[in-house]
Amino acid sequence: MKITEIHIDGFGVWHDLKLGGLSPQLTAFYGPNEAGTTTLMQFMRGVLYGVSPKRRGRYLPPLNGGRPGGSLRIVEEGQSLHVTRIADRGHDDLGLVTVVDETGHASGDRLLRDALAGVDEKTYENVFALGLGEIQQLATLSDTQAAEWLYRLTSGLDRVSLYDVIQGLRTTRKNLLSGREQDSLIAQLLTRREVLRGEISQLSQQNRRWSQLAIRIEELDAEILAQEAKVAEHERRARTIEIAVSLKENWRRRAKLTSQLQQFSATFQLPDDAGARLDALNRKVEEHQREADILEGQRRQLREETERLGINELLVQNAARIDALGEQRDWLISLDRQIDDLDTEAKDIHKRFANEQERLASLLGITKSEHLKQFTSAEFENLEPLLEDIQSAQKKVDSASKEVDALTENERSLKVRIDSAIVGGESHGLPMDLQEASDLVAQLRRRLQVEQRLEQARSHEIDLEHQSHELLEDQVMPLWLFGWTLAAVVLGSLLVGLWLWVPNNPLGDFGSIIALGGLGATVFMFIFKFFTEDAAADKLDACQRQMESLTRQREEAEKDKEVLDAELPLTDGSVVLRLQAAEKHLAELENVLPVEAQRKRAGHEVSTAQSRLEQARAQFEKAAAAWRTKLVGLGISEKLDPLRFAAVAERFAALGDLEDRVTLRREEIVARQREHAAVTRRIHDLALEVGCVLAHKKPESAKPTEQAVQLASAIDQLEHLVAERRKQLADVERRVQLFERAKELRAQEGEHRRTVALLRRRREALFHAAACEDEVAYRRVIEEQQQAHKLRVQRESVTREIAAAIGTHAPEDTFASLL
Amino acid sequence: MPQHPLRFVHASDFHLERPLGGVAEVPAGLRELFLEAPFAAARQVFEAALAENADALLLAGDLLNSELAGPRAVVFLRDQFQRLADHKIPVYWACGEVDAPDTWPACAKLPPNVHIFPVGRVENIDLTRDGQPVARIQGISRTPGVAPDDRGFHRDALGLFTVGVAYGTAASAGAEGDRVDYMALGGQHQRQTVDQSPGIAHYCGTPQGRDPDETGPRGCTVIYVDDAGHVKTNFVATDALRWLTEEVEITAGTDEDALLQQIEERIGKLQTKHHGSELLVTWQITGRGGVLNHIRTGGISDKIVEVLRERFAKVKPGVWTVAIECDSPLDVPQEWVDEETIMGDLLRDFRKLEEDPTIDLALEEFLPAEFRETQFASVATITPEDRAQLLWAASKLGVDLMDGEEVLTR
Repeated sequence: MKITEIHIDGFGVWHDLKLGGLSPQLTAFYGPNEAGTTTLMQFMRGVLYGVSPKRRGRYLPPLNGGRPGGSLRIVEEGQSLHVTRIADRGHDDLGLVTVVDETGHASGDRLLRDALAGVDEKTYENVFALGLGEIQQLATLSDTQAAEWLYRLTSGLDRVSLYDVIQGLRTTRKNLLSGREQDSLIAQLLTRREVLRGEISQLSQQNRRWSQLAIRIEELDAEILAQEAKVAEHERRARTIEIAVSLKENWRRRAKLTSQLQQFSATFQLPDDAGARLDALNRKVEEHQREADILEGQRRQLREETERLGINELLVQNAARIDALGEQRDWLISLDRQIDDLDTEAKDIHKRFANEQERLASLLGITKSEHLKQFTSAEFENLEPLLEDIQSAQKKVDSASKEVDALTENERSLKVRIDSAIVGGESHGLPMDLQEASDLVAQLRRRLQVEQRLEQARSHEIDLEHQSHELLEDQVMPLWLFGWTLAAVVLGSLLVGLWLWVPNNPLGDFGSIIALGGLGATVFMFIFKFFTEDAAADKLDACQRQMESLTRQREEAEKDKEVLDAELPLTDGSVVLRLQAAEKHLAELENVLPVEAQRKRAGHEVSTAQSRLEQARAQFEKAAAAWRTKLVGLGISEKLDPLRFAAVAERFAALGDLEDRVTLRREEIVARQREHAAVTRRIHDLALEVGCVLAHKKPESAKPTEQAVQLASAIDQLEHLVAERRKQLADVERRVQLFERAKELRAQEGEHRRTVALLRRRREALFHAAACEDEVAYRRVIEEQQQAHKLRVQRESVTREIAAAIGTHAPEDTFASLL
Repeated sequence: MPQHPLRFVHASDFHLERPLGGVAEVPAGLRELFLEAPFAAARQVFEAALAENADALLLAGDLLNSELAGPRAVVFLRDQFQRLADHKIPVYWACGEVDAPDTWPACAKLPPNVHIFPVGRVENIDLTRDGQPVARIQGISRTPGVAPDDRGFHRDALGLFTVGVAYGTAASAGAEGDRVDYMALGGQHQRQTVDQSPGIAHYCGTPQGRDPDETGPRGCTVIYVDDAGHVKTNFVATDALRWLTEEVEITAGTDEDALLQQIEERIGKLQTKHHGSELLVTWQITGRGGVLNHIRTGGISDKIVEVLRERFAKVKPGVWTVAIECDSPLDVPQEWVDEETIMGDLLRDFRKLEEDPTIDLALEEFLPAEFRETQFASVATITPEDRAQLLWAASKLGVDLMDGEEVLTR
């Protein structure tokens, strides 16, 4: 890539600067300081790599106006490109690149990047571009350093300066290791390590020293403790003497009190609270005595109350028996009710027995009911085979009669079906015979066919008439055809005449041919007309022949119809309807045919059943005769119906049952009355025994029966006994409670009395112990004792003062030797 | 005999004499924490014993080198032991490599709840509750340099739960816990259970990671023994600072900004995962792409580290980036090697040096003349083992310097 032209629109001091004709080999820009050569170099770098923030800060905005940026013309591989970069889109804008090629086609920065061949700005600066700074470095350096700089500038390695790398490594190595120890990091670290080791060693020694000191401290602590103990002992002795001096007066007082107390020591030592204890004993004796008296009074009260209860001992002893009888009270009432119920039931059954006996006698035709009693069951049982024969015969008669009725009904229903079929046909005048009905159907079908044939002939005749009319019209040529034919003949004649008779005809050389055509057309029309008319005449003849034949057929059909009408008794209605009725009738007749056979078979069965009925009736009559003979033998009316006799026989058996039930009820009544009397007797016996008999109450109104009076008094007596027993038991329970209470009271009273005795013994013991005869002497001793107690209290007070003065300093014995 | 439910806290390797290290520079804000972290972590162990109301604290050695740790560590331990004594929690201490029983200062009286196991023989102690034995504790202290003889360990004859405490063991692998119900082991800084059946053998690890190699959460182990004698272990983190090494994989299209963004996203996840802990993270970059060639100390690593520390190390709890490392080989296209450029010459020279180990690197000539006869001469001496690493680092440096890529616009 070579730069051939430069145009600066606005950049630093430059504005609208155009530099053209740059050499393809070497172009030198020179000028005095601040002439703008560095600005020009930065402009070129900026166009190629963008306006960096550093570059923008230094050169933009332009000092002399113009748009920030400009353009370069470069030649790359023979192609000339005009590269423009304008950076006016903000503070961080690197500049918008526009590249215009030789053809005038504008594009983005792609061609520029291609032209730079991937060389970035850093590489460009290291390898391709030198700034004033680098040149100035050279100018101020010595030869050796200048040589290094030249080496550095010429050994740019892509994006890295090899010189910088080597220099960096040298510096690093020098920092790690250099001839002077203070500048060498490794040397410093080694020195530091040695120092630290020394410190550790020193600290270890200090550690041992610490242990030694700790032991020495322990020894000194022990010695201090020993000396402190000695000092404390001497101080203690001094204090003891001081306390002894202060104790002297109290010590003497206590000795005097002690000697006074010793004077009382000969007497018996009563407890300090002997007086209080004696008073307490006296109070307790009085208190317990009072309680015992109260309890004794209460016991007396209970005894009196017990006596007031007035308990019937006999009744209490028999309480169990009274309870047992009391439990039978409901049963006693139940017995009474049962006796009444059984008596009523016995009477009712007896009454029904008498009524039934009379009714059966009347049914059997016996005038006196007593006569009925003469019949035995055996006699009635002997009648039963006859009665069974009659009933069997009667059943057979009923069965045969029902069978005859059923068969007769069956025959009748079959007959009704046949009659209904026949009556339907007769109403339409149809024959009743199956053959006749079949012939009639065949004639009617023939008649219908003749009529249909006649109808077809008439219709065909009408068609032929229409056809003959049309054929007759076809024999005359239509007007339009006749016109065309005439025109063709006239035209042909004119053309022939024109060819024949007119010289120099206008038809020219073709006149003969045209005339010949016209002649041909005339002849054709004549032939056409002839054949057309001839064909129409032939068709008309054929049509007329068909019409004649058809007329003959129709006449024959009408003759057949007349013959059939004469044979058939047609009255009214169409033949079709009659044919349908006849066919239906024929079908019914065909259906009735098997029914008739069934009817005949049913008739036969009816006659058989009737003969069986007759036989059954004969058997029945025979059994009835035997029955009547037997009844007469027994003296019973022979008119007695066997069925009624069966009912009577059943009731006769029930009559015996009724009689047995009456007997049974009466026996039960007697048994109940016996039980009732036994219980009543036991109640009265017990009442007498316990002395608790209830006086009989006389009913005031109606005069009761003897039994009723006894029953009433038994239940009342029983209830009286039970009530009395309940009252006595309550009293007994109360007496037991009173006894229990009295027992408790007696125990408490005894306790109090024993306590009183004990307390008195204890008081006596006190007196005895104090060698006193009575309470007065004892109280005198107590008084002396209290005086000694006062002295003792005083002595203790002095002792406490002495103890307070000594404190915890030393035992009291220590001071005894000093005082 | 019915089994009593028990609870122990198992810890070891306090190493109170060793502050945190392994980094070229310690951040000013963390300098104090680097010194205090071992103590803070050890204090958390004692707190755990108190919080769990443990039946005993089992210490499996290497608590402190009293000579190096100084009086402070001794007083610290004695005070913590006293706290446990106040709560009637016994301490069973099997000494390890640096804390032999005779190294404990005689002037520092241990509270009566501390039982130090003897060297050379296994001692049996009954753990009692209300005067009744509930477990048997067996332990042995280590003779420096010799694995403890574990023949003295055995399960209790009467069925009491038996715990062994030792700094390491001479048992074969997989059989460390066979002699007792639970073997509390020390001497490994990494938490590990080495035997599960019939007894459990467990290294609880150090309560505080000391350098970038000791990554992940560190702490102590709480042992729960239920009524049926079943043992359950529970890890309790105690570390005040947590070392992490995170691998970030990049692709060929990843540039420095994308790498930084990737690391920042990962930091967010780490803060969530290790909530409440100060993190010291070493980033290991793997994958492909030209960025790998520039990740080196003094290169873009330093710039990214600077950005990350600026953004994430100043908050509490912070994430302090220790370093950004890349062990991947150079990722250069073959045409760079083939082309007739200075870069091509450089790459081809390195190839030759790598392929032929007989070529002398002659690094001595880079030493200043005055150092060549001193202790610094060892700096220029390269062993065959280090040669490949040196060539790899040098080639990376060369490519980074001569590639001239712009880095880290953010």
